[in-house]
Amino acid sequence: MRLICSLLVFVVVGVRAQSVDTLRTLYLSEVVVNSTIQEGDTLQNFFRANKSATTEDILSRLQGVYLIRRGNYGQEPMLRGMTGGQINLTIDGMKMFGACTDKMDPVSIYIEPQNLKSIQAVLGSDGSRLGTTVGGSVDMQLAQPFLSSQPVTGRVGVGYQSAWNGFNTYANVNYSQHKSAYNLSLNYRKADDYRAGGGEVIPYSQYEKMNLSAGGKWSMGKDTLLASALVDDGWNIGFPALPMDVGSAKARIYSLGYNRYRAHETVQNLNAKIYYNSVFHSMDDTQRENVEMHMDMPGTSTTGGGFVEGNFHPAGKHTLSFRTDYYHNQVLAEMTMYPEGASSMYMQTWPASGRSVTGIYLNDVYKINRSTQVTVNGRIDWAVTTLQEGFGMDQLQVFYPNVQSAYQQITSTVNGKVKQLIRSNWIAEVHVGYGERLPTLSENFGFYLFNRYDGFDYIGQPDLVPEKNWSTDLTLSYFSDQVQLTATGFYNYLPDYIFSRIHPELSVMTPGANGVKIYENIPSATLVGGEASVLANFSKNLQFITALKYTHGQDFEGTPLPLIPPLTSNTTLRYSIKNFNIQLENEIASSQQNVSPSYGEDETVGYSIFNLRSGYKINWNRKQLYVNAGIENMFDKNYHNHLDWGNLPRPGRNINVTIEFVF
Amino acid sequence: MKTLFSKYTFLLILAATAFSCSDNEVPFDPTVDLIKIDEGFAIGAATKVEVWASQDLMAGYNNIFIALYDSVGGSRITKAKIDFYPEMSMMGGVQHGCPVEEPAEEAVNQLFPGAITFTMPSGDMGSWKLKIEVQNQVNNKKGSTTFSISIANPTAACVKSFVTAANEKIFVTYNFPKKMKVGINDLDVIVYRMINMYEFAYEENYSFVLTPEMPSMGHGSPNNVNPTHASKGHYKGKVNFTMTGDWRLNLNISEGEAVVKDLYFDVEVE
Repeated sequence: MRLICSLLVFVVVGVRAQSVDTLRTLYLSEVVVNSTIQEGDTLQNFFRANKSATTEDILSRLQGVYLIRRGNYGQEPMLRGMTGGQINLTIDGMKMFGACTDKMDPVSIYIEPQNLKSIQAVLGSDGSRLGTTVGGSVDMQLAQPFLSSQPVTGRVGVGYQSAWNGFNTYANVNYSQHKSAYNLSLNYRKADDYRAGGGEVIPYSQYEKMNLSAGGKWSMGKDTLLASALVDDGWNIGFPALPMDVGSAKARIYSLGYNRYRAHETVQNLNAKIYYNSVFHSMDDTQRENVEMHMDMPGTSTTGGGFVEGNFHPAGKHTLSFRTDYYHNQVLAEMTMYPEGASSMYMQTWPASGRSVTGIYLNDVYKINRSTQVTVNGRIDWAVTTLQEGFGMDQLQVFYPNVQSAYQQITSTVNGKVKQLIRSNWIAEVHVGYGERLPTLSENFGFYLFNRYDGFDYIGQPDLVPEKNWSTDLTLSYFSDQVQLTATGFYNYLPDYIFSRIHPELSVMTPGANGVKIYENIPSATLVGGEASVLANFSKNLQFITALKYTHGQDFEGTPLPLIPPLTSNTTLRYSIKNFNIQLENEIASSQQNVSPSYGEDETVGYSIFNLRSGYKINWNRKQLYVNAGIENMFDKNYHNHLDWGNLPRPGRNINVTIEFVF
Repeated sequence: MKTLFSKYTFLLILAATAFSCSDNEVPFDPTVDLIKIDEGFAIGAATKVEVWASQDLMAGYNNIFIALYDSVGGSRITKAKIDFYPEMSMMGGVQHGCPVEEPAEEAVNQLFPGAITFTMPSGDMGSWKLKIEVQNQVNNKKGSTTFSISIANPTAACVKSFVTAANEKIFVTYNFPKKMKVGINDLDVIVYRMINMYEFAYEENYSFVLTPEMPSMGHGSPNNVNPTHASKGHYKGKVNFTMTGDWRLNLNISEGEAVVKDLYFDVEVE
């Protein structure tokens, strides 16, 4: 949503610096996302400068990335129509899973832009470095302490957003000694109910959160040790599209890392990490009016694991990289209801259950010659899913008398890519891949999970088989000094797609629900679409970027899949001179008529909104003061996107100001 | 100091080992998890009679366990014929019995399990007495003892009665062989037909449709198994509870094509 002006220059420079042998690069309207690990100053600078944005705002600008909105907070990333268990959402390569049965807490909400170094998004089965997948991966890499000649550096800032009377205050400090460095960052946000276009105030859309992170880095020649801790606490978070809010959401992320870089060793760049994270999430309905029956819904999810990755010294024209990892995730979500004049009722909506996954990934880049490069990669995961004996298992036996206490599954992914330089300015890239993904613990063992979108109670299915994806992508790019064009088309055929079916013979648990659905593998589903972008430098001071993304999804009978994003475009025209810049943005989403009525969807009309942003930099004694001001949704349009739950209108005209001091 | 410490440690370990050994030799106690209701002597049979139950006696189906001992030697008696004669003396002077299941003559785990379905609580309405007659198979002597017992009134009725079109009085009660829990539960529904004030017959020709529901939420549970007749008036089925709380077991009773009665039992699942 919010573009940061001062850094667009870096992006464009970065784009120009692309050489032919750089791996596939996706152009976002203003961010470059690369499928290889890249210490991108461009990205780093971009995110640091993205002063008022949340992590989700940044995500939403990425090519092929969409967000499912349930309010002003906790938006869920989607890659080309795939979400949840279909994608890997990781933090610095660490697996982490939300603790909310209603998906109110995709783990991206626990990361602030202040914590971020970059976001690496890889679409489709090619994103299997972090786990076998059908939809791709989004890895949020955390900022590390850095060694610097200046002992103390940092930034403090404050931002204001008028549409929700929101304040965002942050500070971060890096302290560097000769061979060690430490960082500390603090972020506090508070938002009231937001005002939609036209003036309507959306009740229960407020939130408040605090994020604290600290890290240490110790360098011993070519060896580096890293330690980091992140604490994110949110409270009083409203979810206007859901029947309940979030009383408290707490995340803790701890990791210890080791890095060794030696150009002449067999393993050139070795990176290892052990980690532990936990999420506690508690839903709350005490603020709501007319609650039929009060309920408590706490959930916990803890994950521990480790990985080793690196790349081998190039052998001839081959460069082989590897990753091997392990994690264990354990969840429990409970629900206690308090009817008037009767005993309280207790059930486990996520029975105590867990999953251990051990995997290995190999990637070989074969440079045949200066203009042709072939990449082959694959991954295999061995998963053990466990259902703890006792209450949760007894519950599930009502539906599945033979439910097991342990299930084993093996999933794999294989990809082949050919990148070909055509003449001097054109690059063609073809990707063919096969991927598999495990059902989520919700899809396996969920027990009467109420989905507000379709109004159905969902029940898991322990015997689901992995969902598969046969996919192909074709990308064509054109480069010149003034213009860069990229167009991608993709096709995904997903056998054993995990979906749900209505079971009319079952009675609902949630009062007022429409019925009960049970997850099942349907024969197949198809997702097709594409992305296109144009970057143009009209002059030294004037740049133009536009990006289009489209997805179409249907099941084996041709019925549209639910929650498929409409055709979306983002366009930015930017003018910069000396220390000042200004840019006009336009976001258009088409109507969506391919809807799934059985999922409670209705058609959504399209919209077009405009944003204006500006930035000014004041240099003062080798320090800088940045002042950014902008207006989002300038014409106060009342609109919503097809992916927004409950047809809730998005925020109306929002005037924002951010002041940041960098020292 | 150090020696002393190791010495004591050694002794401690020894003691712990000895304790754990003796632990394994504790004789099996058949009355664990049961409560003793009363005890007395069956005069004439030279037998001490202990009455145990899985919970305080209440109006409804009660699992009763009888322990018998030789009143002289104190040794357990595991072969005996036991008869239950419960009797309610009502304030108005009416007296009546209630349905019983007499134990087999061979003890199970040193106890004689049986059952009594008290059809009403004791209290202002009247009082219950339980006469137990023992035919000791060891000394072949017969005697009896009588207990004054208190029958509690449960929060929700555990036994229901009605009169059929043929003017017969029917008692319906239920029993969970294991403690109720969330998940799948075995359920026994037991039906007696009253012959006279002291005699009751097993009613074996009914069929049931079981529909559990949570009245406070208006929902039920899936995959329940309707109770069907197994033996001696016991109809065995399965009831599924999807959460803790108050549940209602709705029973539609029919005999052949004819609808007999619709009734329900309220239970609390913990």
